[in-house]
Amino acid sequence: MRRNFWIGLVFILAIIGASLFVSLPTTKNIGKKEIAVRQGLDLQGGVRLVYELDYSKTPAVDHAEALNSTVRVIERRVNSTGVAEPTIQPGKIGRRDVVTVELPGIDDVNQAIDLIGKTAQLEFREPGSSESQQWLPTGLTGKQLEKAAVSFDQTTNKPQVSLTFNSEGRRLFGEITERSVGRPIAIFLDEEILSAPTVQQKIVEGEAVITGDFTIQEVRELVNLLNAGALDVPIKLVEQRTVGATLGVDSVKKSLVAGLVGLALVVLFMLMNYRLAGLVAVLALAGYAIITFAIFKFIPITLTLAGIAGFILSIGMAVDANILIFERMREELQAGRDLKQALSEAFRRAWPSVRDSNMATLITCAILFFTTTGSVKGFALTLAIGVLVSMFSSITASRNFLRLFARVPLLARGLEKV
Amino acid sequence: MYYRFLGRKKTFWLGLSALLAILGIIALIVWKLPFGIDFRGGSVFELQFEKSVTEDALRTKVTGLQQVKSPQVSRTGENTYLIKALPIESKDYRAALDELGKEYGKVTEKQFQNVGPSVSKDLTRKAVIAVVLASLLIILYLAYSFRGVTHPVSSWRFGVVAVVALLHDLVISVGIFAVLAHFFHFEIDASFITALLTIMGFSVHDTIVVFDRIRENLMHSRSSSAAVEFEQIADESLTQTLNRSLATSLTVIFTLTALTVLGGESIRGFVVTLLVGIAVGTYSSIFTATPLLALWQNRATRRASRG
Repeated sequence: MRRNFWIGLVFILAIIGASLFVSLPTTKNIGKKEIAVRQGLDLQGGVRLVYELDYSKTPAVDHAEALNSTVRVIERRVNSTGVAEPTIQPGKIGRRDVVTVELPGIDDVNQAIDLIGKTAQLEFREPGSSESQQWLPTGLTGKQLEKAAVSFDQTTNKPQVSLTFNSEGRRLFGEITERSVGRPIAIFLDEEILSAPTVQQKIVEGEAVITGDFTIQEVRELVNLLNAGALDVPIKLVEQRTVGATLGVDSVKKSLVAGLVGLALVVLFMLMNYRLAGLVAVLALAGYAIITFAIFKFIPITLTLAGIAGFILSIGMAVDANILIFERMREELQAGRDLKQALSEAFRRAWPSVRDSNMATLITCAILFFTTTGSVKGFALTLAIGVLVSMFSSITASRNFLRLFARVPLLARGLEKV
Repeated sequence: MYYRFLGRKKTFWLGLSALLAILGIIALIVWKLPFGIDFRGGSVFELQFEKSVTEDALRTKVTGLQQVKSPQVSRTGENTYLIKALPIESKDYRAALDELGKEYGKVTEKQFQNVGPSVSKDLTRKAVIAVVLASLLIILYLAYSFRGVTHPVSSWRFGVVAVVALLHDLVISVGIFAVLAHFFHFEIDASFITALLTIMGFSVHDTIVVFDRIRENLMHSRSSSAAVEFEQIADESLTQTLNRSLATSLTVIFTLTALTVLGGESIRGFVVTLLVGIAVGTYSSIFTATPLLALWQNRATRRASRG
């Protein structure tokens, strides 16, 4: 028993110590894992875009693959813009597949929207025989592209896109150019004609250029788009949320101040109401805050305004278990038990209500987590973590702290005045 | 020593709770809930203009734009306005900004939100599922957790009463929110559902602490099943848990009040909803849930003695 107590105390202090280490702003990685506090869009500004996939021309068996490939293509496109820490996630709205894109701290939202939303289907077409069929498909598309690059016309010095085909594309392009000498070949992007040069001779190297009245910026975008590949299915923007960064910074400051004031009030209340035992609760609460923050940073959990509210709320709930225990201690002491008995009775009897009430909160968290998306999901996760950690801090940690205090006669007398 | 919460006062408390719930429903019918674009679909954009412009002039201008459908304009700051409209396509929005820029100089976009109808329908459906599912699971969990108590109160009664108290809390909170929203122009967004579910969790949390004490005290005195004795045990349990209920609610109310007064504008509606819900939840565990349990128990006892 005695030995268990000391082992328990060392264990608790070790957990708090480790959490303190993780929480420190100077701790940037553990082993090979990089850790950092992630701020949500509402805190640092940015844009959230939700795209719905249009399956009208895709057979059902290909839907899963189309969704995967859409996520990959959007990832490549977003990465080409150099936005830091983007998140791109597949999801569902009703029965329809969607892809959610979050771009924190982005300057030009509209440019990003243009880049992501394009199907980017590159196609080479040759002239048809009749008026109604002006351009006919050749079978050569962006699929046979190996890479695209920015280059400059050697005579006019204008920027242009140079294309390199893979082996299949090289063969196809050779065949097309062979039969089209003296005639134009059109290069289409998403049903729009980019250029239609006239073929001078058969091209066997599998290289082509797209020329036109492009700016260097336009050429660069086109190259990024082509290298990222085409979308298998068209996508439609169904939700957009843009938050200015100043709004976010302002909210964070205010919420932090509010959180600290709230915390101070709770500490004051606990000290006034339960005195020395209140101090134990405050210590447990400090441990709670440190451990929770360390978990947030380690997983990492994206902090949103709703998440911070959940965290602040869980502070109030975390002291609840302590309040239950102290009230019970008071009763047991009044019933004439000595401190040691009162302590163990209080913990034994308070446990079922702590367990059941926290279980109810965890059930709601689980439902929120599995049925919702976005900020609500984040709130559920932060609250659930808060509840679990609070069970550790207010039961395990404060029991050991109280037992430690009870060993020192002077402190024990203080505890009896709970 | 215990306070009398039940006995003849029981009818008064239950009557008061019912009245509050009915007022909540009336407030809901009269003022309705102002569903925001998360639920209705639509667009909201806050723009700051370089040149000075009055609200009326801007309203006329925006209403004249063919890209923006049924707009509402309200002032939020110096030359800064919030415009609400039906869902808007990305290219239409940009065209509209260009038009406004020609008239009022450089336009700074402070926020822009556009939610399509499929998104909002989905959110509404999920919200309903979440609330119903949570209620069911809580009944099941309570029935399971209180399974040891079969005499004299059957365990699932605890669950059902806890959920009735929870629905009572929800109706009153939503009703108060409808009143606040009407006078302070809040709108309901996705976080409102979060607030409601948190209130549910807290309400049950609070009720469970009281019920748990009743359970404990019942187990200690399994001698008689008389209605009077059940009420006495319930009253004792309420008295014993009163300090804790008030202390816990106070700590939560401290933190939430700090958030309401000092926190950012954007979460105020969310925090106020929580504050109201938690106050009501504390009230209902004492004055709704336990009287209801006692009432039900009395009926059952009477029926048992007759049969």
